[in-house]
Amino acid sequence: MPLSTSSEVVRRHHPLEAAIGDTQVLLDVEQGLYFGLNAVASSIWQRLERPIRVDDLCRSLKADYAGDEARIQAEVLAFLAQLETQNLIDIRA
Amino acid sequence: MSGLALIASYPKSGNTWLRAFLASHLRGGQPIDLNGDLSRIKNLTGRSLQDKHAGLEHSDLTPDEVALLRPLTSRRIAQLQPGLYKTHDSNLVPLGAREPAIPADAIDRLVYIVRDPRDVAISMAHHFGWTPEDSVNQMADTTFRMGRSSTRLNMNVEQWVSSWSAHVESWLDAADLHLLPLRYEDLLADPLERFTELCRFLDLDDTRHAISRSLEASSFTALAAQEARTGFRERYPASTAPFFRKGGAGGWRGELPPGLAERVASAHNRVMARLAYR
Amino acid sequence: MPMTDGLLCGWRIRSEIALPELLSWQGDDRPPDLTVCLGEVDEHLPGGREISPFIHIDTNGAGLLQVPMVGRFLVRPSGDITVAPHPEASETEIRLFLLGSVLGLVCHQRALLPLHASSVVIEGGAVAFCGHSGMGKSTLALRFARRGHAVVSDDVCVLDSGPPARVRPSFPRLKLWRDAIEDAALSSEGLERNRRGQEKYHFLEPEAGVRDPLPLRAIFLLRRPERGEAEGIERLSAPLDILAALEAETFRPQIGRALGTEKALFQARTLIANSVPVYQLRRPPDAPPERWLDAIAAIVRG
Repeated sequence: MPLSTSSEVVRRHHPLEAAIGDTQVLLDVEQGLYFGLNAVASSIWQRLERPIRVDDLCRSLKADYAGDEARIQAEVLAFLAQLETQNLIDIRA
Repeated sequence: MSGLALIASYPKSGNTWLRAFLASHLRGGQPIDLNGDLSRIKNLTGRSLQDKHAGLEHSDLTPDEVALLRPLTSRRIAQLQPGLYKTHDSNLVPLGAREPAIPADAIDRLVYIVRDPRDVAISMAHHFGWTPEDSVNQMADTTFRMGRSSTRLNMNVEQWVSSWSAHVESWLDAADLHLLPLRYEDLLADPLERFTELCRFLDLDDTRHAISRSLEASSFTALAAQEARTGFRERYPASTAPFFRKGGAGGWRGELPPGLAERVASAHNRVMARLAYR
Repeated sequence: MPMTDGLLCGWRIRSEIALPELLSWQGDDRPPDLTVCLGEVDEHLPGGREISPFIHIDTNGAGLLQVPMVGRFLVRPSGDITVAPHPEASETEIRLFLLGSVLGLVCHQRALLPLHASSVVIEGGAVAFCGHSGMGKSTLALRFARRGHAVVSDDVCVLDSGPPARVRPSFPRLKLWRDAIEDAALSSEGLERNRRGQEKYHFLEPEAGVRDPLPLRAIFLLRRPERGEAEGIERLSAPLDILAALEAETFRPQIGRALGTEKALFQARTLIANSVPVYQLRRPPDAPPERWLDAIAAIVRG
């Protein structure tokens, strides 16, 4: 499914999670892979627990992080694409 | 690739040269670091690899138990970590075991390198710090094992090598094996042609340009110069000579006493004739 | 025959096989946590799945270890262990696997993290040395033992569920090759062999056992320097590097996966990553250990 601002995204598995220092660490037991998320990535990840539209996600981030809307959107899309490559999220139309 | 792609040979028969070539070739012909890049073509009998897949420490097992365990571990490596490996194992059933250490069903394809046993004898003597006579005796010993820990841990697990003749025939005559036999002397005489054949067999880049570049990077002089600078980890501790010592063919004529050369020729005469070693 | 119960990683163990490696149980009069009996063990584990060539696990979490010349060990999650020794196996050989692979299995059954590490007491806490066979874990532990440090574990270093990160001491025995013993100016004479015909021995520091759990002070990962890397000690800082290292140093991780204890293992590893410094000690494995002892002790002292 192609990713756009109108896509709905949601976590696929529920990996094990823990904070180590400033990093949020995920372990996807099925794939046997570890992932490390920095503060911003981690706040996106937290918002993916329930299905959410990408533009809603960006809006909610903009409220927390003062930043240019276009830039936030670009970074969110790039990060979501990474999560999808790692089989961590599902993208719905 | 599913299963093990093996570079197999009796010891001191050119295996490391092939690994050096492949290590460079897999990196687009770049110069290689002997102590780092060779590990791209892992040693199948390396202890940590074997321990990991066997789920126990081979240092807690007897040689007979290792012989029973190895085929089972080979199958697990073939399944869980397939790819390119080197080995000096023979294709024979070790004393006390039921099948060879690397059963045919674990092997995807196998390159077998063979070298004139008289040159092997010289090279083994330098490598292990033996007399040429020790080498010649060892090469005739059908119960020759390597990787045995004596008073300290060996970084390899036990391998059933057997005699030079038995080793060669065990692989060359293996049925049901996708096999590429290569004579070391042919690799030296016509590297471009022979290494092209090798790359084709392994589904690697077989363009002339790429192969020449990797050959250059792994040339004997390049490897020997690097060993002189950095030392080389695979050198045997008791060794009296550098690992990359000469690399030629026919060196035995000047170095192996005629009586010993005669003994090699009579002990291995059938297999030598078959490979045109006169 | 009456035999005193032993202490193994905080457990009370009652065994028909003498376990001279262990301290005797001096705790309360609870029933034994682990029992070891001699008996028949079938070569097939019904419903068992092959975890590694010599280990099977069934759906109830029972494990079967079979070592050709040593015997069969059936390890039930209840802590009941049945051993069927091979007729030619020596007691040392049986104990080697009972206090090694079987102990690892027991840890996984109880969702505790076993590290493949030798550990000693430094500054009132446990300091663990991890690394592949041949990297010198036991040799370093021996050198510390000769300086008066108690030995906490040899092959299997058991982490308590925590927090805080603590080690459950196993027993003060080290498995050493003859060269390592002689390099330490000791003799292998009179020591039990690890396996028949092998020049590897069991070295006991009888007066040096530890009873109670100890805080884990530090972990040193023993590595060979790669590609012109300098020798030395360096602390790992990236969380993923630390977790990957701890996973690689887990004793028999396949068993934990088969028993579904990933969550507990993950928590134990993240607890370590958050609270215990993990260092890489890069040196050639055959380099003399002496020069590193002071450096290690100084780092632990902080």
